[in-house]
Amino acid sequence: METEQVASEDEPPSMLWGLDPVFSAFARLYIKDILLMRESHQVPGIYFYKTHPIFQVDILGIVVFKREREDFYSYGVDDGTGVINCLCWKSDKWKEQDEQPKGGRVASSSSVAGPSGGFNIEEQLRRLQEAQREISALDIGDLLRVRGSVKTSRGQREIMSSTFYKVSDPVMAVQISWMQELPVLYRRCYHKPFNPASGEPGTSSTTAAGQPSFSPLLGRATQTLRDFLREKEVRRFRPYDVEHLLHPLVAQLPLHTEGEQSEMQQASTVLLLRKHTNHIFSCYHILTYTLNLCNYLLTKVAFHCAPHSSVPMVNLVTCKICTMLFSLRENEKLCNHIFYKIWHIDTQGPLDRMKSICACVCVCVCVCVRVRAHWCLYTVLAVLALSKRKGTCWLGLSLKLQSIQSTHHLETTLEKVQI
Amino acid sequence: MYVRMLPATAVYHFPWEFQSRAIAEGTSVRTFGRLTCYLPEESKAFLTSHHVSVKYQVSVQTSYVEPFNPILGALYIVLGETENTEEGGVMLRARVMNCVDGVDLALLQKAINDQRSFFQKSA
Repeated sequence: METEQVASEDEPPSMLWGLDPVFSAFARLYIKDILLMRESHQVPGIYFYKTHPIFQVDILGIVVFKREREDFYSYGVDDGTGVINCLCWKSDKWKEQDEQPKGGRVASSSSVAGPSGGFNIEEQLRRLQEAQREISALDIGDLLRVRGSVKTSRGQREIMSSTFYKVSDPVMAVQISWMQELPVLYRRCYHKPFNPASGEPGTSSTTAAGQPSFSPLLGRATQTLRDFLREKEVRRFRPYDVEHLLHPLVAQLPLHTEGEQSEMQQASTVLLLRKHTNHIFSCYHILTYTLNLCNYLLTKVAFHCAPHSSVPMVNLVTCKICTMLFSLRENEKLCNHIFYKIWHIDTQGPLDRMKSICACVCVCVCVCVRVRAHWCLYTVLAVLALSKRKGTCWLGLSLKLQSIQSTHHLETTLEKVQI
Repeated sequence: MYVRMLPATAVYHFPWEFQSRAIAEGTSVRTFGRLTCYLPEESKAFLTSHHVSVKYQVSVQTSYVEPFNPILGALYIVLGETENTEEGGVMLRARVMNCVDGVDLALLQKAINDQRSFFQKSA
């Protein structure tokens, strides 16, 4: 009894955990902190860093220990603050590749040497897989990035990876930026208390950096939704179902720039509504760094598309991209889904160019978050086929995209695409 | 019995912090320096660095990381355990030795210092 009482004192009730944006994100914590986090009394498998419920983490460190098992590798990862064991599963594709006879490779490599205009999708896919295999085989001394859930087995903390890859970091740029980023993240998010009892749960950490004017409204939106859900005893819902509840709030939304304001007047109210409700939901779900990425993409897309198509369309597309992006974090295979969505927004005007750009942006993003590379390839191919553009250069580009790891690269790539 | 053999955490130390045997023997550390000399027959390497116009040298036992490609004049990151030598100095027994030539040293130092001060503040 006593322990339960203690639990209820330190931990917010599990029902409210979802309100903490940190909960649904991969928390970038120091390994030291992952090792020291205390396990929740209410739900085993959930951990608490300060007041934040955490079950999945994102780490970067040097492999200092390696052990191979039949199905997985166990890597000891050292980030300079602690060492933790990571279980990294061998993928099925990886095994299939090993069994393939060598003859097949020789034959396909000759087709690479063929005319540069020709494009052999099998060959490209094989290359992608090979690249993928390369980044999933590590040795002691390599830099490893792991996303996964925290487990405790036989008294030892470990990470069950959902994604992992070898990071190529010859001049330590990634490691240094990681070292500089973490204290900021800690200060902005993890050290900020999560207090679901107050009027604006968890919003302070998400919105403080991005859009200060937004937070009171978000708090009210939350309250509205929460009241509704409690009243009707709703257990599951889609954002779409509760959209209408937020309609009265939309009128009070601050518009970001003057330019946008004038454009907005032309746009239909439905579009406006969509955009803002999506906005509300998105703000609700994400952590600062994802927010930044999305804002960045939004401006990019808007910038590139503006001269070529109507404004409402652009807005719609961007908000689609944004919302899709969030689900992407949950499920990497949604990449194709995104493209599908964008493709069907359509119906007015010459949108080929815009669509292509959007798809390209999506691909870039997917690569950034390490979606399976061949999904991206399919997407690009589809775009090319449909937009009737001579796109061999794009293709080459998209293949190179595997190595993209920062928004800076993304930007330069996008510029190239413009040519 | 399945025993986990995870090594101890290698915390960043600056090369100029090794001189006075202030670090206990056997501590896991990571540090950096320019490879100025490599003696393959003794498995010994020397990493030098400059700090406030004083030259510091760290000797590294490389038998665990051999064979590696020694590039004289290139910057290396080393992870390993400290050992006191008979001559009264400190030697590093390397577990990991990566060439990181081209690294922005000033930025790395800043990042290390930032991290340290962050831990001091939050402690």
